[in-house]
Amino acid sequence: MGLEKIRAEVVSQIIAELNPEVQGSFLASDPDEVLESSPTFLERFNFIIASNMKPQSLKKLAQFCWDKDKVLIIVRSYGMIGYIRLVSKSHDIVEAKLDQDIDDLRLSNPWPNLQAFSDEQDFSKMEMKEHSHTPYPAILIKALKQWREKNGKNVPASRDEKEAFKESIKDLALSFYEEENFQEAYNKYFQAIQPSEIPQSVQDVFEDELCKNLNANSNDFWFMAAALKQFVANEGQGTLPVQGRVPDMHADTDRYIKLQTLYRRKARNDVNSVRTHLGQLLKTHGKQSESISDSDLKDFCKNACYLRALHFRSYQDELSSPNKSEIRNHLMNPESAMPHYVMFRAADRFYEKNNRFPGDDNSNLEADAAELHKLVKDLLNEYEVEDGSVGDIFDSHVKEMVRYGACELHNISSLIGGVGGQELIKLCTKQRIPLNNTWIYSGITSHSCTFEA
Amino acid sequence: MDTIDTSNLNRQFLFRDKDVGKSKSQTAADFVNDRVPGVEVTAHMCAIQEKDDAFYKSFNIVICGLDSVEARRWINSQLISLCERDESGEVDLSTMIPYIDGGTEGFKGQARVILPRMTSCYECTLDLLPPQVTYPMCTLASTPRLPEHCIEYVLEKTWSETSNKEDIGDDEKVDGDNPVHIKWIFAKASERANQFGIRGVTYRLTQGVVKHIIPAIASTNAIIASACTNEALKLATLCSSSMDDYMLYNGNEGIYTYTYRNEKRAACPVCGTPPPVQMTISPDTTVEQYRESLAEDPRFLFKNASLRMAGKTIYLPNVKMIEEATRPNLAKKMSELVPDGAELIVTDHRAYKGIAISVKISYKKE
Ligand SMILES: [Zn+2]
Repeated sequence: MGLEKIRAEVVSQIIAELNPEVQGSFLASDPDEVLESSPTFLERFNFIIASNMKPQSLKKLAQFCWDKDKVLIIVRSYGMIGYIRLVSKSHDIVEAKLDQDIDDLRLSNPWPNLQAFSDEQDFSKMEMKEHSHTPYPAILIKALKQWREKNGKNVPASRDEKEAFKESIKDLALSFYEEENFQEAYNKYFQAIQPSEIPQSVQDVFEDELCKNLNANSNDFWFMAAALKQFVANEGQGTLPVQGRVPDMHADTDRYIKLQTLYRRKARNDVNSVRTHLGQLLKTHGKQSESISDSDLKDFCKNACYLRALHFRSYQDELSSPNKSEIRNHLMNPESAMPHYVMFRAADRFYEKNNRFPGDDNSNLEADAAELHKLVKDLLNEYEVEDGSVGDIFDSHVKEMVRYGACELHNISSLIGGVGGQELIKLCTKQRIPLNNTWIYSGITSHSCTFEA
Repeated sequence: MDTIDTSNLNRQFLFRDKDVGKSKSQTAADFVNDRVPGVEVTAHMCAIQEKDDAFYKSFNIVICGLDSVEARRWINSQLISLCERDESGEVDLSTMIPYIDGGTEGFKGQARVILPRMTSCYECTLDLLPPQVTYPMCTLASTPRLPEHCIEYVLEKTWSETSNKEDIGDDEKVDGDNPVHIKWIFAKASERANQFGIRGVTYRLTQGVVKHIIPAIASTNAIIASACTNEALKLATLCSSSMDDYMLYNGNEGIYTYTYRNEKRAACPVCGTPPPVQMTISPDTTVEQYRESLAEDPRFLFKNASLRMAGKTIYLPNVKMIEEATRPNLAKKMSELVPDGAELIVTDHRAYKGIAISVKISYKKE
C-alpha cells in the first residue's frame, strides 16, 4: 500500500486511522518554500516535529520556531543510529511525577492542630491493639516534643543526639519488635528532625526571570509561581503549602482518616492563602481573578515541591557554540553513544558541502569515507578533544556511517518514533520531565546518551 | 480467549472501533497480513501452555509480549528445555531458539535477549522483579480472586458507571488523597468482595491500590516493541551483534536507558544445576499450608504447586481426575504423607515446562 503515493498523504492517513475523532491533513511541499512563501502555515501549530530534514532546511526551521516560540522536536533515523533533540524556549512542569515521592509532613514543625492530634494520643491509656496502630507521625511528633523538653534544643543535630533520639522512639513502644508502627517511626526518624526545605528546582523557579518579571502575557504557571513565592515569604514562613498527601502507613482506619483530614484541611487553608496573593497579582496585571481556576491552583499547590521550569538552548547556539566539555566528558566513556553525535554533525557538514549524505552513492565510498574522516577530525579539534585521547574509535564509526548512506531502517525509525512520541506527550501534558535536550541511541549496542547540546 | 475492549484502542494500535469484541490475536494477525504484503501471520487462540514441544520447535526466534511472570517463566523453561547439548557438553546451536522478551509499565519498559543455555535466562533474574501490581480486565470482571481485584474493578468500572455517588460529583476523577473517594471505593469493593466470597478488602489496601494505578502508554509500547523487533532483525540477518543482554528504559525524567549483562546463575533451576533444596517445616503443617508457603517463597513463587514423591502423588492440580482424587490430601498434615528426610518433587505447571525442583523435607522437633 502507498507505493508511489505522496509520503505526507500516506502518513497522515495512517496516523488519522488510529483515532476516528482526530482530523489529519497534509501539505506536500518543500519545507524551505513553505518557510519562505507561506510561513503562516506553520504558525498554526504549537508543536513541530522535524523528521530527517536536510541540514540547511532544519537550521531555517529551527530559527523560525525559536522566533515564534514554537516547540521543535527534531528526530533522525540514520542506519542503526537514532537522534532526538528538543527545543523550547521555556517549559514549565506542575506534575513532575518523580519515581520517588517527596514526603513533607511538617513533623519537625507541626502546626497547632497537628501537634494537638499527637498530644491527644495518650499511650499510657492504650491497650496493645490501639497502641500498635497509632500512626507514626503522631509518634515522631511526641518523641520530638519530649526530646525538646529534655534537651532544650530545637532538633537533634550531632550523631549522638540523633542516636539518643532514635532510642527514645524505641522507649515509647510497648514492645518494639511487635509494633510495626514504631518500627516505621524509628526508620523514618529523619522526617522529624529535617526542617521542611524548598527543593533547589523550586527555588530556581522562584528566581527565574519569568517569575520575577510578571506581565499581562505571562502564562498561568508563572502567575501561580509568583503567588506561591509570596506565600512562602509570608504565611508559609519559608515553607511551601502543605501537600495534603499522607503516605500509606500502619494505622487503624479511624485515626488514619483523622490524620488525612488534618492534612487536607491545612492544605486547603494554604491554597486559600495562595489564592489571595494570586488574586492581587492578577489584578495588578489587569487580569480577571477567575482566569485561573481553583482546581488548577489546588493542583499547583499540591505539587509545589515538584515544580520545575526548563530552558532549552537554541539549535543555533548548539551549532555555533557547542557544549564542548559535555561532549569531551562523554567521549571519555568507552560505552557512550556520544561518537554518534559527532558523526551526525560531520555528516551534516558533508551534506552542506556536497548536497548529499556520505555513502548514499555506492561509487564513491572510499572518497566519502576519507572526506568524512577529515570532517570528524575538524570537529574533534573544535571540541578541543586532545589528539589521541579517543584512540581510533572514529575509524569504525566513519565506516559505519558511510555504510548507512543515510538509509532509514524501519526498526530504528519505529523506536525513535516511540521515544519522540513519549517526549511529545510530556511536553503537551506538562507532566513528567522532558529530555533536555539531546538523546543519541545506538541500535547496535542499545546504549544511549543524554546531554545538553 | 482475549478479546478487544474499548479501553485497548488507545494503545493497541492494530485495533479499531469496529474490532471491539473480536479476538485480539486473530485481529492483529489479519491486520498485519493485510497491511504488509509478503508477511504471513498465523493466530493461535489458546494458552501458551497448551502447545507442545513440536509447536515451539517450529520457530527460529520467539518474541514475547506476555502479561505475567508466570507465563514468562513457562515460555523460558519451555525454550531452554528444547535446547540440547552434544556429547561434549557444548550447546547444539541447531536446537537453540533465541527468546526476546519485552514489557512496559507507564513510561518505563525493558527488553532483553535470552540465548538459551548461553546467556542468563528469565529464571536466573527472577529475584530482581518487583511485586506485580497490574491485573488483566478479564480477571477483574469475571474471575476475581484477590481483594485487589475487587478494588481495581470498582476503580475501572463502577466508578465511571455510577452516577449520583454520595458527595462526589459525576465527573470527578479518582483522587487517592481524598478520603471521601477512598471511602466510597472501599464500600463498593467490599460489596463486590462479599458477592464473590473474597476476604481482605480494607481501607488501607483500597488506598494502596488506588494510588498505584499505572497507565499503559502507547508510545512506551512502541519503544519496547521496536527494541524487541530490532533484536530479532539482528539475530535473523546477523547484520550486527545482539544487545548484551538487558535494556531498561525510563522516560519519567528525561530519557534514561541502561543496558547491561545479567549474570547466569549457576544454581538456576531452569538453566543451571540447582543444589538440593532443604526445607524444615512444622510436622503440623497441612499440605494446603505448605503449598501456600511455596507461593511466597522466592525460591519457588509457585502459585499452584503440584507435589509428588517417588511412586506417590500428594497433590496434582492440573489434571481434573487426579486433582479430585488427591484433593482430600490438602487438609492432611505433611508429616502423615511425607516421611522425615524424604524427597518431594515440586513444580507448577503454569510456570515450568518439564522442570521440577526436588526438595528434601525434614520436620521441626517439638
Ligand atoms: Zn537460568
